[in-house]
Formats: sequence, structure tokens, C-alpha cells
Amino acid sequence: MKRTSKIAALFMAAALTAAIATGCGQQQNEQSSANSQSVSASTADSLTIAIDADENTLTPFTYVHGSPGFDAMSLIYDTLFVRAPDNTIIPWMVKDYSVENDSKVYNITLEDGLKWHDGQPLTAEDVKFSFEYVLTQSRTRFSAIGKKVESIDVKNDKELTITLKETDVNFVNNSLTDIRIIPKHIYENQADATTVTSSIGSGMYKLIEYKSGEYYKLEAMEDYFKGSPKVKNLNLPIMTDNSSIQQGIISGQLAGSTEPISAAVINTFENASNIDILNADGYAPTMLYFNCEREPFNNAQFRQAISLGIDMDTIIQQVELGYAAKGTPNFIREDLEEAEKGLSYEYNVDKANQILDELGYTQKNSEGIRLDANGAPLHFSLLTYSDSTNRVRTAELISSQLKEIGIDVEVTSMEATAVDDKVWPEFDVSKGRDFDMAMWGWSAPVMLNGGSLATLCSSDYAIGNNNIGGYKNDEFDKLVSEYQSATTIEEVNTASREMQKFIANEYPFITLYYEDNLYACNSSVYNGWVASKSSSTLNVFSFLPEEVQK
Amino acid sequence: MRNLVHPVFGERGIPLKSKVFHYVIMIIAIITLNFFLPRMLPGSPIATLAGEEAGQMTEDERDRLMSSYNLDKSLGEQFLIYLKNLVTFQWGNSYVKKQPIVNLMLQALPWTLLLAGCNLILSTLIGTLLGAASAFLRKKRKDLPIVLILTLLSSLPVFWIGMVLLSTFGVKLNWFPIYGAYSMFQNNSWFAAIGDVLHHLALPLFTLVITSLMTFFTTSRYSVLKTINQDYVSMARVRGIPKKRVQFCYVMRNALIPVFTVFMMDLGYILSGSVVVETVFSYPGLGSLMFQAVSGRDYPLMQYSFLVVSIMVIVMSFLADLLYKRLDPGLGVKNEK
Repeated sequence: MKRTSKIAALFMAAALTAAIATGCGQQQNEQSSANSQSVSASTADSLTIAIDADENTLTPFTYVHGSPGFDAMSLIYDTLFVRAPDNTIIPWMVKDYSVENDSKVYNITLEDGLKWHDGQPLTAEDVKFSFEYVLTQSRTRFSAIGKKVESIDVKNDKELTITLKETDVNFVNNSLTDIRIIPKHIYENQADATTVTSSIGSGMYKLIEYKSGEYYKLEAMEDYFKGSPKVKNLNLPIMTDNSSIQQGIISGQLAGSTEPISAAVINTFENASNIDILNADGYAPTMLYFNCEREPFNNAQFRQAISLGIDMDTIIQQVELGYAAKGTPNFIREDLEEAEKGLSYEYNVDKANQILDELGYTQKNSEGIRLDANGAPLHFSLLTYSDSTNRVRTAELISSQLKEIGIDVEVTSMEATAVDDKVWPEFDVSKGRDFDMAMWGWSAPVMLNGGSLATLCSSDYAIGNNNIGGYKNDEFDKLVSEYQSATTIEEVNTASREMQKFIANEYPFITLYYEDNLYACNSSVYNGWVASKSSSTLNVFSFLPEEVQK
Repeated sequence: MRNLVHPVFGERGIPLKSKVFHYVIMIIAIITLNFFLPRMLPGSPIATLAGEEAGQMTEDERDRLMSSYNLDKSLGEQFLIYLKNLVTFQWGNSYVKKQPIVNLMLQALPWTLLLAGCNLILSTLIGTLLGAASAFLRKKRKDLPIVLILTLLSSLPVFWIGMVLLSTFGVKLNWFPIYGAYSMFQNNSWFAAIGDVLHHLALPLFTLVITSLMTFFTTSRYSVLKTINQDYVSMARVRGIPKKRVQFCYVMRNALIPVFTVFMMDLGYILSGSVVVETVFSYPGLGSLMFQAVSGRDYPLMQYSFLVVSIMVIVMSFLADLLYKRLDPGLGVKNEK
């Protein structure tokens, strides 16, 4: 049998050697083609950046996820205005603009030199078409924007006037930064936008190849109206495994990734040379939601007691290892201009106990759990996605902390669809809800868009379309009306701050923390990465020419 | 070896017609389950189809969407449409990828066949040889190291083995690429392209081989140990037939039949690829596709992927059943009498 073993060993050795011999030369080539063809660190011929999901053909109607799909699509399709890395709104395709008639009329002049990737000029007719076309599509986030528009008057190739049905002070911030301008000559005869596979946009990069499940190849538009991008080719292999992506960045086979890294692995990168960790403030909050239609969560004092019983600093340290900012009771992160400053959560077990005593929950069972008027223990379930480790750990910590104030919380982790079905059935808040408490989160745009509290807390579900807790308060609804009828930015800010102050005392949900967005980038091959507050490092500002950035 | 029990139908010797009938029943059951299971999942179809935009849709928009997927029809009508589409390969588009499911599966198929096929061949050969070697060495107690090493390797999670190989050979030594099935961003000559594909294949393949060896090893070892004590083997030794000839012609030849069973069963699973390995190495096969379908709640893609794999397992099992008789003419003797 020695011979048999030798044959087996030889076979394995031969296979290994053959693979190494045929491949090692190419391994060096691949790496050099992936990342090392940089002329200098501030510019690069090509970069290989892992994209953590297959996002289809990257058109405004076919991308799948907000991140990385929407971010990558934003390199290909431009908007009239954009959010700068510091979150301010700046004109992009717009050379000049004015707002008239109580924020109902927007006069826009387009920049010079705008053109589509196929060489055709981009005109005001394309802009008008973009707003009208989205109304014909049933499944796109842009339909709501199109519905706001009363009419669009095209004066010439570069000038147009958009008239809204109603006053909307946030139209530039919320809508004109979002809606993608699409080519009329590509879409005008297409009834279903999802069937259009050619990704002809006007952005700084052109999609030259997409292989489903494998990769994207993007090429810079040398004659882009903002100047030639600093990186000529972006190669985006589709990689869904986080550990492999991290190893790829450490090995130099990847220059970066669209997926933020977890705080738990940050040490791995800090020990690796040439890796920079970019920390972009996070605007996607992790929250604890109450079912405000169900007793005792329909009582603001009870919700306040729960808030007082949660030690957020401990949660941030234990779950996020300190890489998160503490939430505020007005929902909106304090560094945003719209935020009412100085509001904060208090951790005070004694005060929580006092409130619960005052509410009549004075009796306790043998396990120290408070009893309600019927003698039943205060026992609630806390729903959470089973695939979100941090949310499950946060829920468990909340459960143990609330036990200290005599509330028994059972963490129930379920598949995401099952949780969505109980908390937000059919993604329509008017369909009701079936939960006690739930761990939840909103993506950054919910907070970054002005007037988010109206969508989160208004009991008029046409406005409060994100009011998943079913919160209802007539006084707050009045504040929402005032907000809706504001015609100047000052009035809007005042109304928004009034809403924030009101909600800070109502606790319809608890905004626990804003997780930092940590991105690992290989700075030895490219050092132009920009950590944007509203997207991943795959954003236009990472590749914009220096002179334009200045 | 006459007591072999088939994993699906028990003892051999069932008439061919009955076997065919059983297999057809199983396929019908799978096709039916495949239709009903996704409909039993939590969440409404409108939420799955439109995502968060569902809440903003008007009744008319909702109706149009439901109608475009025939979800406005009765369950019976939907089932008939499903059957018709199934046999005519009109499997529709993936919800998430918005591309025809048949195309997506055909794109991923060659990579899965390459990876899983090479793994099946290598793990069968190596596992069987090591299993036989350990059985022949058992009397001298020299088989312990092989058994211990393979037991240890088989107990390790495939994800962990993949990550160890990836970080050692892909990152530290930098011998192998760590993602993809080929160099995506460079043009190679035809010959270089083959080398490139093999180079990318190495790490996922070794990961799979390491984790698949044990099945063939134990089957082969058990089978050889059982055969080695048969009368006809003892008789061959008594007759003075050379040891090597006894081992290969008398023992191994007969001991291979259970290995063949495992081989055919694994052949059935070949189309499922390896979800974990393909995901770790970003290998664009069917396993990777299925992972994306499950994580993206892409029900039609999930449905047809599982259907193809299930039917493949049944077909291969049926083939194995038919081939048994040729490999071991003794099977089925009872019934023929």
C-alpha cells in the first residue's frame, strides 16, 4: 500500500505544482493590473474595488440596493444637485438656478458640455422627460418625485422651469439630489424601464461591461464636464463574503470595498501596512420601536421609563466597540443643520422606577418583574432580524437592562421577511402592526432628507408613511401641518425644530445609536478616497479632479 | 455485498417498472412542493415584488403588478401556468436580477460543473485509495494516522478550511488569487486563459476536496474491510495468488460498488455546487447564485434552482439504480427467480 499512498501523494503534489506553475505568473499580472498600475498615489490607471452585491445593470430602474447599487449607479447617472461629502447640497448639472413663488417654481439653467455616454448632447428636454417618465413606472423611488410636479416648461436646450403642485421647500434637498436624469432617446419608447439594459448615463463613469454575478468594468469619461476623473478604470468584482473582501484588501488584490468593515475587525487592518481606515459619520440609526397602539406602550410616560432604563453608552461600547455616536431623542443627528441642539437621553434607573411606580406598577412577582393591574407580569417580546448580529446583541443587552427596572423582555429573532411582515406589513403603515417592541433601522436618506419626523410620526399616513409604530398625537399633527405649510427655509427649520422638541418628550421610539461607517482602503495604490457622509467611498468625490474639489 | 440497501428504495430487486413509477411520483411531489412552498413563506407577494415602494403604490399599480406575475389568478390557475412554463422552459425573470432565470443558470453552470466535477473526481479517487490503504493497513495498526487526520479534517467547517487556505496561500504566500473563476480584468491568450482558470480553481477545489474526502474514505474503508474477510478472498490467498492481485482484483473490485453509490448520489448534487465555497471564493457558480437568491429573497430564482438540483439528484439516483445491475449482476437475483 505504500505505493498507493505514494501515487496519491504524487497526484496531489502534481496538481498543486501545475496550478502554481501556470498561475503564479498571472497572479502577479492580475495584481498589477488590479491595483498597481498607478502613476502616482493621487491618480491611478485602474483600481479594483469589491462591490458586495450583484446590482444588475446599474440603471436607475434596475439597481437593487441603496448601498452599493445606488452608490455605483450614481457614478454613471448624474443628478441636478448632489450632497457634498460634508452633507451640504451643491449644484451639479446646474449652472444657475432660482426659486420663486413660495418654493413652487424652480428656474434652472444647465451646465455647459453635458452629454450622454453615447456622445449625444444632454438637453433640458432630457430633464423634463426624466420627471415625466418616472410617472409611467410602477416600481421606482422616483415616482413620488414626479408626482410633485405640476408642469415643466422647456425654454431652450439649457433652460427650464419646474412648477410644483404644492410648496416644497425641501424640493432641492430631497428631490433634485435624488432623481437621476435619464436619456430620452434611450427610454422614450420603453414601456418597462427595467427591460432597458444599456446603462447610458451622463455621469463621470461609463459602464463598459457587466457580467452577472461576476463583475462590472467602468471607464472614466475623459471629457466629463467637471474634468477628467483621477482614476481611468474602475474594476468592481462582485464579492459577497466579508471575510474574503477583508483578506483581499490586506493582500493588495483589492484597493477597497463598498462594504463598511465591522468595528470588530478593525485591529486586523490597523496592523496591515498601507491600509487606511476612513471613518464616515453614520446617519443610519439603530432604533428601538414601540407599538404605540398597544398598551402600555400607548402611554408616553411608560415609554420614557423604558428610555431611562437603557444604558446606551454601555451598548455602544459592548456592541460597537465605541465606533458609534449616541442617539438623540429628536432622531436627527446633532451635527446636521436641521437638528435641535442639546437634546439627549438620560440613563437613570431610579427615575425609571419612580415613573413605573407612579403608573401603578408597584407589585412584583418572585422574579422581580412588575405586575400590571390584572396581576400579569410586564412581559413583552422584542423582535429583531436574526441575521443582524449587532441588533441581536443590542436587543439582548436591552433585555437585561430592562430587567433591572422590573420589565421582562423576551428577544425574538426572526428571519427579516417575517419581522417586516409583523412590523411593517406590505410596507404600508395603514395595514397595521403586530408587535410589542422591535429593533429597527432606517437608511441614511430618511434622516438626511428634511422633515423626516413628519414621515416617522404623523398619524396621517399619507404624510407619515414611515410611522411603523402607529404613533398618534393631535398636537404633533398640528406641528406637521405647520411644517407642511412653511414657505421659506427659515420657517421650515423653525417648524422642524418644534417637531423635534415635541418628539423628544414623547419617545415614540428610542434612537439608540448611529453606527460609524468604517471603510478600509489601500492608500498605497490610491490616496484620493473621500469618506462621504451620505454614501460609501465609491462616490464621485473620490475621483473628482483636484482642481474641481478645491 | 448482497445486503446493500439503496438510500431511497431499500433493498435491490424492485422491478424496473415499479422503480420508474416511484421516481416519477417523487418528481411530481417535488414539482408540486416547489410551487406551494414559496407561497407559504411569510410576507405578502406585493412586498416581495415591490419592496419598500409597495407602501407608496396606488391600488391600480398594485393590481397591475400582481397581474403581471399572474398573482391575481386563482391558485389552481397559477399552478397550471407554472406547469406549462416549467415544461416549456419559460421560467421567467429573476425578481432581483431582472434577467431570464434560464440564462442566469446557464451562465453559472459551466463553473459549477468544473469545480464540483473536479472535486467529485479527485475526492473519489483520493478518498477511495486512502480508504482502501487504511483498510489494508489495519491489521498492522498503521492506519491510525490516516484515520485521525481525515477525521480531524472532516470535522472542520468548510468555511473555516476555505478561509485558512485563502489567508495562507492567497494572502500570506500570495500564490493564488482569492476571488473569481478567472482574471476578470485582463485579456489572456487561449493557452494562458486555461492556466488562469486552473489557477483560480486551485483554492476552492482543494477546500472542497479536503471536506469531501471523508465520505469516500469511510465508504471505501468499510467496504474493503468487509470484503477482505469473504471466503473467496481467503481462497484466493490460499491458492497463492499474489497479494497485490488479490487486493486489486478480488477485494477492491467488489468493494467499489458502495463507493459507486456514493459517487452517483454526489453526482446528483453536482449542480447545487457548493454554496459556502463558491461564496468564500466569489466563484460564479450555481451555489453562489443560489446564495444570492436566498439572501435577496429572489423566490423564482430560488424555486427553479432548488427544482433543478432536486430533479438532478433523483435522476442520478435512478441511473445509479440501473447501473448497479451491470456492475453487480448478482443483484436482483431473488426477484428473477
